[in-house]
Amino acid sequence: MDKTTAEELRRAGAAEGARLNLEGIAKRFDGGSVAVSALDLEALPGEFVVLVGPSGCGKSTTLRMVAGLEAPTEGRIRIDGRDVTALGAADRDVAMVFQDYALYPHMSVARNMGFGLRRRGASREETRRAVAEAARILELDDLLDRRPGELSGGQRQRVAMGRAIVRRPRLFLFDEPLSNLDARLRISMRTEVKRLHARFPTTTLYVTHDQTEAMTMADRVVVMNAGRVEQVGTPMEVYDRPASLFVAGFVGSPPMNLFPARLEAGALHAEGRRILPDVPAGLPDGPVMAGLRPEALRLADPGAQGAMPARLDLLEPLGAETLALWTAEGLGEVWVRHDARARLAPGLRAALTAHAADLHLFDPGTGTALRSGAFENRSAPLGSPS
Amino acid sequence: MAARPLLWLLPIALVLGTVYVIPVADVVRLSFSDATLLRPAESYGLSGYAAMLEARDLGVVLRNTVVFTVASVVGLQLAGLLVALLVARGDRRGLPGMTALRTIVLAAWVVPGVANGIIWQTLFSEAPFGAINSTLALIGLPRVAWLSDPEMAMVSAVLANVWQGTAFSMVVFYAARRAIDPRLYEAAEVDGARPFARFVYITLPQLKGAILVNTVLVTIQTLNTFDSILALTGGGPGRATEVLSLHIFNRVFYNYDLGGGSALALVLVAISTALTLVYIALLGRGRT
Repeated sequence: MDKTTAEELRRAGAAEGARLNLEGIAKRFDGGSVAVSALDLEALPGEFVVLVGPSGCGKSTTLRMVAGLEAPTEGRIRIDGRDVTALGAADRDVAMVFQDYALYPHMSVARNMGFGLRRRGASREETRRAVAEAARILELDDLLDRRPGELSGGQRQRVAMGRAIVRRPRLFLFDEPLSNLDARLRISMRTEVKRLHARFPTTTLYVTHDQTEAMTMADRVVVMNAGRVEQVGTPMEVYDRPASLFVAGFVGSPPMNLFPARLEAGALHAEGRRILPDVPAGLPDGPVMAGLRPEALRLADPGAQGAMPARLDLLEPLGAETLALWTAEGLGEVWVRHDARARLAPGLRAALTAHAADLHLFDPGTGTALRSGAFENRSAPLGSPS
Repeated sequence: MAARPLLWLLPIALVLGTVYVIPVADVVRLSFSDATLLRPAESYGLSGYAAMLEARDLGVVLRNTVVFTVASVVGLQLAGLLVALLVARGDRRGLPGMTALRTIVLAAWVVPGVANGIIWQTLFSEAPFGAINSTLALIGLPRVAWLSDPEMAMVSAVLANVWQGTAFSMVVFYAARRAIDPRLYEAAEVDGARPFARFVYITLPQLKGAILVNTVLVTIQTLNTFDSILALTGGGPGRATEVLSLHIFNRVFYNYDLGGGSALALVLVAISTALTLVYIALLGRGRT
């Protein structure tokens, strides 16, 4: 994709995208199970919003309700202010990329891509031109006469995206589109989707269970769990200021180290040890769930104040950095991110330390964040935890 | 372990040999003979085939066969497809009674052909108690000569055959319809396809294989149908509904002409085989 393409697309009236509003939508299935409960979300025109969460958290159901493939039990869906809740999928100007691509097996690539335009009344000639252009952008020119069955996984994925962009919809929906690809292809397609969005700033709702995908692609991440939104924010907000234990444990690879602890007179105690002395005041004494990111822990002199004796159990060298699993007094098992050049070996005995400023604290009962690291100077998250 | 397929294939080869190959070989032998039902073959020759080609009624019988078969096959496909799609749709929507509907349709299938003929003969009866004519009269429509008019008799025979055979087509189409990936319909819906467009662009192309296979099977079944016609019209009035299989039955069991009947039976086998080859060729082309 070159610059001319982007300009051509703009000239051709490429949509900037719609504003999407979900107002208290809920989905209960006939059996009584609740897939989504009272979900509020706004996607601004051109925004790339990623819904992320473990399987069964309601993210795909939410996407399907936006597509019009599933009717919400409660709530309203608005596209550009217009209430589309009662409209079928065919009447909403959305395009969707399915997890298993759902290409029409009996049609050529060109017909697959042109089908939506033809159904919406475009002439044969218009369709041919639009398909050729989309094929050029996605480098599918040579495959237009093939059937989906003759394509590789990556090619099918590109055809599915081509089918979506060829219509220039106001809203793009992606349902775990990369999960059927192998790891290498997934990373390159990730880049391709992102690049496509940069050239073609259509409002996008993207569902994935892969937090790395969510972090790398999103303008804003919506972390979902058990049918509810746990947190909405930019990738860095969600990473730096997880609103709940769930988000802290879900976002980040490896995830945040979490351990039960107590606040006593402004200091953090765990397993009878005083771990961090100067936790900023303002919180009452009592039990808490404490969290430290792997990069917040460092090696320390065993004699230093607050240093926790630890034993190295496992090493995961990643090239640029090395992840190590330590068992530390007071913390239990913790992942620590080390410089790749650090001299480490399993069985090593050393001490770990952290800054109180990097500490996350959560209410052990409700799981909500009480305090989030050294990030007070950042703006508050856009979304509100529910 | 060495593979010894022949040993394992032997039992089924024996069964098939006994049940199929020997009788067919015997029909081939009889077709070249002057055997009748009353006495075995005395001489062999082509006289049976010669007589067959000279027979004046063969043209009428073949014409009847073509009309009956084409009309039945078209009717069976349409009715089977319609019921299958209705049931599949009912299933998807979780409507009650879909299993009952399927069972009712299947019930027609297990009715023996002769019983089917008798059932429809009663329904089509032109006597005052004839169910269909009484109903027509009730709503002020003229009575129809279902069985006594030569052209209507063919319509009646086709109707009875379609009623009975719909279940088979339905089972084939129902299975094929359920095998279609529901995502395709969702993708088409998002693409803006209305229900009719989804039927034309997704359902029909996806059912192409089933339609072709079903056409082969239903054509062969229909070609071999004689029992329901025998009970319904006996081939009449005149020869208006006498199809090839019924003609063979009549020739062997009323005229005792075993040699001639065998020759005609081989013609039927040849037609069925030829049709099968045509459809297999179509099937192959449909894949590329």
